[in-house]
Amino acid sequence: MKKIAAFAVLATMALGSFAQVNIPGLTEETKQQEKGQFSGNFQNNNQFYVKDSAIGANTTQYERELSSSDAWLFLNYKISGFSFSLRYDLFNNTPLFDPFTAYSASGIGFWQVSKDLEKLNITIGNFYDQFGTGMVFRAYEDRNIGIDYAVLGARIIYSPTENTRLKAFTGQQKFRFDIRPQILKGVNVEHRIAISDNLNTELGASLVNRTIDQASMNDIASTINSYALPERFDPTYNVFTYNAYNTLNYKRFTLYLEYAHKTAEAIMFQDLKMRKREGNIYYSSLSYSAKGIGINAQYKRIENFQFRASPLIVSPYPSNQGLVNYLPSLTRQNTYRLLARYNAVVQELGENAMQLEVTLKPSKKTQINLNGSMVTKLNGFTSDVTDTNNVLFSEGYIDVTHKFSSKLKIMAGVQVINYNQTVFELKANAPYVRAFTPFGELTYRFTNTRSVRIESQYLVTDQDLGHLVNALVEFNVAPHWSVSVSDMVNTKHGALNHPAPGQTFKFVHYYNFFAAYTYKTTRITAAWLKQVAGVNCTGGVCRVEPAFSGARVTLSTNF
Amino acid sequence: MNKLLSVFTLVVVLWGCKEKAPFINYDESTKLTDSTYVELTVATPQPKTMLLEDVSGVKCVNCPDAAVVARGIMNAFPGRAFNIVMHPAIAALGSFVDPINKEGYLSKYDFRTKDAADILELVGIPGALPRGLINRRLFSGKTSRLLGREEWYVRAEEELQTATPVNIELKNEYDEATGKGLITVTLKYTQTVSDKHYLSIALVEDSLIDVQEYQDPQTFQVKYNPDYVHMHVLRDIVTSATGDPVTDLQNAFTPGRVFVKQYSYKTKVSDNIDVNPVHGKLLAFVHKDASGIDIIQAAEIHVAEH
Repeated sequence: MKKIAAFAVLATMALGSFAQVNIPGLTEETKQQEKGQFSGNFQNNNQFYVKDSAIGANTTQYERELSSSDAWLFLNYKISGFSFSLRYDLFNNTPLFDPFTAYSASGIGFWQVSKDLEKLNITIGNFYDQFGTGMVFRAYEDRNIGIDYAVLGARIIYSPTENTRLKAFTGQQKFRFDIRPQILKGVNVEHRIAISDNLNTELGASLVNRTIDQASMNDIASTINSYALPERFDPTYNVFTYNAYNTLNYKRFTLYLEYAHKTAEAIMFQDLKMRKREGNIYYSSLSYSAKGIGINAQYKRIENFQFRASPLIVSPYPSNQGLVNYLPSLTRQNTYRLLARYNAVVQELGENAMQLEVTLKPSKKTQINLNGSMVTKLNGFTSDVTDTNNVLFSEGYIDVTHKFSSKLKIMAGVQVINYNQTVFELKANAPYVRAFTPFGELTYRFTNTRSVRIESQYLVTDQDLGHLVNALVEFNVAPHWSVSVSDMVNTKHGALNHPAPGQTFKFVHYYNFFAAYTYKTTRITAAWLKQVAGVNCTGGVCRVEPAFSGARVTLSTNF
Repeated sequence: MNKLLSVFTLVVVLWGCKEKAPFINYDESTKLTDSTYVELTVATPQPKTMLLEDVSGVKCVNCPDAAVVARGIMNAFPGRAFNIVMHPAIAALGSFVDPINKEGYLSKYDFRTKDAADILELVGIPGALPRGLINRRLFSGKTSRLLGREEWYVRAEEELQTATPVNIELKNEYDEATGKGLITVTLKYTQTVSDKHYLSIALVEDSLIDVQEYQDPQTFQVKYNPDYVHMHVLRDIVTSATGDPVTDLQNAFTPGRVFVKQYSYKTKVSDNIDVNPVHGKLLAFVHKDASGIDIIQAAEIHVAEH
C-alpha cells in the first residue's frame, strides 16, 4: 500500500507539471516530449493440469488446485526526463517459484522513478542492472524460471564523458512481494580508450558489498554452533566481491579478460554444511571474425564463488534463489527439444569450463556451426571425455545448413553429450549419461505467407530415460497463424525407468499440440502437451522441474 | 579518471574496516550423554514457567529497584517464575557494569561474563539499565525484547497464561570433594512443534555480598551499599551461551518424544569465579533458535542441598 501511495504521489507531481505546459511555438517533437510517452506490456500464462503419474506429473496442482495463472502488467510513463515504471504481478496457485508448491499472491512487483539530469541519472525504487558480465553483481528478471532479483533502493549513473561511466547503488534484493533483509552496496566504473583506429580498450572494475542482517546472522551462528568443534568458524557479516575486466579490440580480434574475487565468508556446500572460503573466477574469451568465418574461444574457472543474499538461502542445494550475481555458462544454448535436454548448471563451488565455437560460411547457401565444450571439476581439463570422476559435462556439436532454393532449406547435425546427472540434477545413484543425438530440420516456403517447418531429433542413451525421439511439424500462415504438432516418444527405457521384473516397457508419449495467433503486437498461444521432467535453464541458471501434463494458454502484448 | 579511481580506492578502504564476529562457541561440549525415545503415554503438560533475565550492573543505580520487582514476580508465581541476573561484559555498558573502584567502596567480585554479552548480542545491546527479558519474548506492540522493569510483572503474568509443549525435569548430582556435578535434563514433548529447539543450562549464584550503587529514594543522591546481597547472578552457561540444539532430527518434536541429556559442570568456573555450591542453582530452559530466541519453558534445581 505504501508503494502504491508513494508512486501515486510521484506520478501526480509529474502529471501536475505536465498540465502546466502549454507553450505556443514548440515543435511537434518537443510537444510530444512535453506530453510524455506512455508504454507498457502485459503477459498472462495459464496452466491447466491433468494428472499423469506415468510421467511424474503429480504435484499439488494435479491433486488439488488443477489450474494456475501468472500475469504481469508493466506500465511506463516518460516525461521531461522523468521515467515512472510500475509492474503489477499476479500469481494464482503458481508452481513458478517452487515447482512442488502452489503459491498465490498479487500486488506491485516493481516500481521505479528515474530522472535524467544531464550527465547524471538518478533512480529510486526497484531496478535491474549488472556490473560487467554480472559475475559480481547482477539484478535481473527471468520470469520463466521464477527469478526476479530486482534491487529495491537507490542508484546513480554518472557519465562525465562519453567514454566514462560510474555507477553506484545501495538497496535490498526483492523477494516476491517483500525484500530480503540483507543490504547490498556497489560501485562500478567503466572507461573506454581509443588508442588508434584499429585498437581500443574498454576497462572496468567493480566492488560490491553485502551485509547480513542480525536475524540471519543469528541463524548462521546458531547453525555453526551445532557443528562439531573442529568445523566451527567465525562467520562474517560483510562480504566483498570485486572484479577487474578489460575488452581489447584489435582489428578483427576481440579479447576479453576478467578476474573476480570474493572475500572469505560462510558458503554452503553440497553436504549442507557451511565452510568459510574465499572465492575467485578467471574468465576470458577470444573471438575472431572475418568473411565466411567466426571463431570464439572461451575459458572460465570458478572456485567457491557462491554469492547469495545469505548462505542459508542455498538449501535445498542447489537453489537458484537469492543470487546476487550471475555466473554465465560456457556451454551451447540449445533450442531443439532433445538437444536442450541436458544442461550444465553452473557449479558455483568449483568448475573449469571451456568452449570453442566456429561458424563457417563456405558459400552464400551453406553454413556450418561447430561447437565443443567441456566442464570439469577443478582438477583441470582432460582429453578423455569418459573420465567420469572429473568431467561433469562435455558436448560436441555440428550442424550444416544448406539453402537449396529460395523455398527449401535443410539443416542436419549431430550432438554428443556426456552429463553427470547426479551432480546437475541431484539424482542419487543416477548413472553418468552418455547421449548421441542426430537431428535435422526442413523449412519449405510455399508462398510468401505460407511455410512449413519439420524438425526431428533422436536421442540415444542407455542411461536416464533411455531413447527418445522427437518430431515436429509446424505450419505458418504469416503474419497471424502458426500451428504445430509434435510428439516426443520414449521408445526404449534407460537406467532410471527400467520396467519392473515381469513387465515390459511401454512407449511413453510426450505430445504437444500448439497454436499461436498474432495480431500486431499481441500474441495468443494455446497448447495441449506433456513435458518430460528435467532441468530448465537460462544461461547457467537452472531449476529442476517436474513433468507437465495438461494445457497452457498464454497472452502477451505490448502497447 | 584519476578522480574516479581515487573515489573507488576510498570506498575500498572504508569497507575494509574490521567487524565483530557473532558468538561461536569454541569450548568443548560438557554434554556427556544424549538419548531420545518415544513414550506410549504422553506426559501431562506442566504449568507454563517463565524466566526473567535481568540485565544489571553494580553501577546501575536503579538495578536494586529492578531486583525488588523481580522478587515480587517470583513471590507471586512460586515455582513458575525464575530469575537470572546478567552482568554483560560489554564495553559500551561499562558505566553500568564495570566493578566499582571508589575510595571506601571497592568491588570484591567482577560479575561480568562474556556469556551474558553473547546472549545480548542476540537481542540487542540496551542503551541503559536495568532492562529485562521475559522469556526473551518480543511482545505484541513492542519493538524490542528488552523491557523496562515497569512492564515486567504484566508481561510475566501474560506469559504464564500460555501453554508449554515441553516438560522439563531436572536431576542433579554434585560431588563436594571434586567440585564437579552432573545435571540430567529430561525433555518430554506433549505437543507437536515445528520450530528448532535449543537447550541452555545456566549456573547462577545467590547471596553474594558486594558493593552496589543505588539511588536514595528520598534525596535522589547516588549512594553505595557495601552489604548489598546480589541474587541469581549468572556465573556460567554450561551449554553453549546461545544453547545447544535439542536434536538434529527432522520433525522430531512430537507428543511422547523424550530427550535425555546429561551435562557435567564445575562450581569453580574459572580463577575468578568459584560458586558456593550451597548458594548455586542450575537453570535449564528450552528456547527457539537464534532467530526466534523465545524461551519456551524453564526449570531450576539447586547445586547442593541447603
